[in-house]
Amino acid sequence: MQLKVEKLTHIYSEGLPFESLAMTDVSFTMEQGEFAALIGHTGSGKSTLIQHINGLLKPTSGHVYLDGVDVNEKSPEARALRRRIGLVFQYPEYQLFEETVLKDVCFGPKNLGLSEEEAEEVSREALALVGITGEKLERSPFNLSGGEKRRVAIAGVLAMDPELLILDEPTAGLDPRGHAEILDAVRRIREKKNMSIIMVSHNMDDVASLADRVLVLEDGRLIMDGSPREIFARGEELRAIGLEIPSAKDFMEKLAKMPALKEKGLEIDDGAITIDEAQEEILKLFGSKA
Amino acid sequence: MESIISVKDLRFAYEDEEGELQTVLDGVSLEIEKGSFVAMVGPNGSGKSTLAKNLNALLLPQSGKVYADGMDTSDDSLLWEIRRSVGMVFQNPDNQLVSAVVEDDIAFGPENIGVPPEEIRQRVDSALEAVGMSRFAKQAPHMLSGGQKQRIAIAGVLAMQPDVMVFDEPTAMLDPRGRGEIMAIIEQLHDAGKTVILITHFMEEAARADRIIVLKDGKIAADGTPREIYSMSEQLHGMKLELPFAVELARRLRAGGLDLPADILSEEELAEALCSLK
Amino acid sequence: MAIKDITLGQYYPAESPVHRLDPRTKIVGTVVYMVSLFCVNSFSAFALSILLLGTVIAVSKVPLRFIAKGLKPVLILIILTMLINLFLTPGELLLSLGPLKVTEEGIYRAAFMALRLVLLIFGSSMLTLTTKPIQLTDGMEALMKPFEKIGLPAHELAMMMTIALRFIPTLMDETDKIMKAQTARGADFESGNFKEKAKALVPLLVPLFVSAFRIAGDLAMAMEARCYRGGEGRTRMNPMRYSGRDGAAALILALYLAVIIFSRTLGLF
Repeated sequence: MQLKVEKLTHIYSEGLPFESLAMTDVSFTMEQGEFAALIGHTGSGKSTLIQHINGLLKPTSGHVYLDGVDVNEKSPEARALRRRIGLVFQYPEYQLFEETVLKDVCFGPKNLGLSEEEAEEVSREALALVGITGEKLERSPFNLSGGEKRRVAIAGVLAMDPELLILDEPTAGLDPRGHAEILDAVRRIREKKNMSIIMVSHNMDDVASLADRVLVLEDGRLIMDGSPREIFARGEELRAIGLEIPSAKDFMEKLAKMPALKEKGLEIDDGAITIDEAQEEILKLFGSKA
Repeated sequence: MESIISVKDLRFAYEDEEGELQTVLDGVSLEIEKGSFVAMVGPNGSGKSTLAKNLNALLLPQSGKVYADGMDTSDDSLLWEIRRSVGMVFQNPDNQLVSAVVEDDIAFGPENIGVPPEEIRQRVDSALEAVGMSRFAKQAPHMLSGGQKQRIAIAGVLAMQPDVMVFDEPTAMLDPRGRGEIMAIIEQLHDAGKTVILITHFMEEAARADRIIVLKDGKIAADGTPREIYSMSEQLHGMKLELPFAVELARRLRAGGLDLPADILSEEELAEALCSLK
Repeated sequence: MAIKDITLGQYYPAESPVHRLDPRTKIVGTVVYMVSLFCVNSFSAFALSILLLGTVIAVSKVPLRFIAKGLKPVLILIILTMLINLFLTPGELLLSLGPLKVTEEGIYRAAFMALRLVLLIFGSSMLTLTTKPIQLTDGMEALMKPFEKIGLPAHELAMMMTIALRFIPTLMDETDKIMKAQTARGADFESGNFKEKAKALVPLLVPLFVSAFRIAGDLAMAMEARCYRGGEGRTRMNPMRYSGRDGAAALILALYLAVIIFSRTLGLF
């Protein structure tokens, strides 16, 4: 599914004394299968943008098109397309309500009109994709660990078989293990399904290792749009608006600036944005002589 | 060395849903020096939070002893003095503020311990100033950002003038900006002489302490300065603990055959070490 | 309806003698005023009630428009009351519209009822608009204190109110979030008959209750950590103190009440 956001502007409380511009003239297009990370600090408009994509918020001006159809049209076609958007909110585990994990995940597919058996089948598949299997399916979702609950909640959206999955800070508040489990789940979803993914994140290391495109929002405007390498090469600009850059990139820049390297005539490529790339680059440079 | 917290062979178990006892703390003993900054790390379920709640008698030892500033936490008559002297800031900034107005919330603690009105006013003002939130005294907490709410929570504890401040994952639910604000305040408090105990998942935060205690399965698995702890990077990696970036990269590079010192702690040190390779 | 649209129970920050009155004076005053409205049975007496409230509003610096917003949710109730009184009061016939009969007494009663309701709402809004929530609960606690001897948990009730005021916005946000999340999973809260609608609420109510219990648990722990142990031995940052201003207010109120009662019993006006 192609997502096209065109000149999207949103004003909160329009006409009232406390009206505020939440989104100004945002345009971009995303093709099927792309993985975009949406970054920007709190209040930059990330939540406002993603709520427009499935029609939870209506633009003050501008349009959001899915496969060429305006999502805010009242047609059955637009309604059907909106259902192809899977939106996972922040702390999604707070939406769990059923007696068992499996029943909870079945809620979405059943709302789509699937029969009990069909719903269970797609739910089991979705749960397997996020790494929840076996006896856990019959447990109460409230008795799982934080990371597991979160994955069940993600499965609840995956089971609706969206073409575009939107994840709003999927790792917020988790411990390192829960964090790693979510990233693994996102990678598996990526491999097994040809889904487009938009991930809102504050963690630049995650963005660098997962996304193939980065959108940067600041004050409701889309100020950068490019590959992670391109975006993180603009470290100064990112820091200026209070954003971080991946630890690997930060380190490589520091290393490249060391005078001692120049004296030895060593030239290092500081473009690495993940720890794997940094490791490779450093070993290439120093390892061969060891 | 004068110790302000003293834990002796502390054991603690919870009953799970099936009614079976799950050991959370399995014989923990430690001394915390007055004025020090101690980080406690460990995976979920390692017992860090339970240990923290034992320090100010929110939980009581099932066996063993905990002394806060010389006071036995199992002595009922000392309960309020213990809680005053060992203050605690929790993870969720929303769920620990009591009042609908910021300054009234900060007054809550001093009011509970019977501080005279004029002094409460002074304490509230200076606590607000210490966390840089004086401007927000009359506001409603739900209008503030996560980091700001957490600063109010810290001010609320500060107003009770505790000697020890325990932070139970105070940055877990914050964005990077809020996280930075809170860490800066924690360091300020430590510089001002408070004993700080920080429970965290973030190794980068723990690296800023004087001492790191690693808990695993209810026992102390390691205890030392950040440098000592991170030089055990292979063991920590085995315990599924996240390592600070420079420590992790150095570990991988050593595994890749580079001859790097074992105690690299920061990016600067790693860069230096790489430059001095041959 | 967004929470900011609700003015009932809202505080309007301003510097005025009314704001500075002791909350106990204002609570008692409001109760007395409300009772007085039920004693009033003539237009001249109503004029006096309006005069009193009008003066208080003018002194308080709260804009009339702001207070009037509080009428919105009960407007239908007021109109309905007026219509019922207008058409169903027996008496001297003035006008007849089919089965509906308008009598002179009906017009009087309809006007009285409407005035009474409007003044009731304005009067009670003035209390909350000029008194901070914490002062309000402090005041109620102090007024209920004498009844502690017969087992009324005055402090606990006041603390419950404080916490409720603090967490209403939090729970509203929570409700909004859960609703959006379930809508994204295809939940439908709008269509269907009563039974279907009630069933559709389960995915909203269960997480909401779970959240509320989680908040309650966290909050209880945080309060204990901050040495909360009930009302005993507590001090207050801003202790309540009666001042000359409160004496003056009490005097005016007593005078007003006396005139109203005399006018009713002696038929002065």
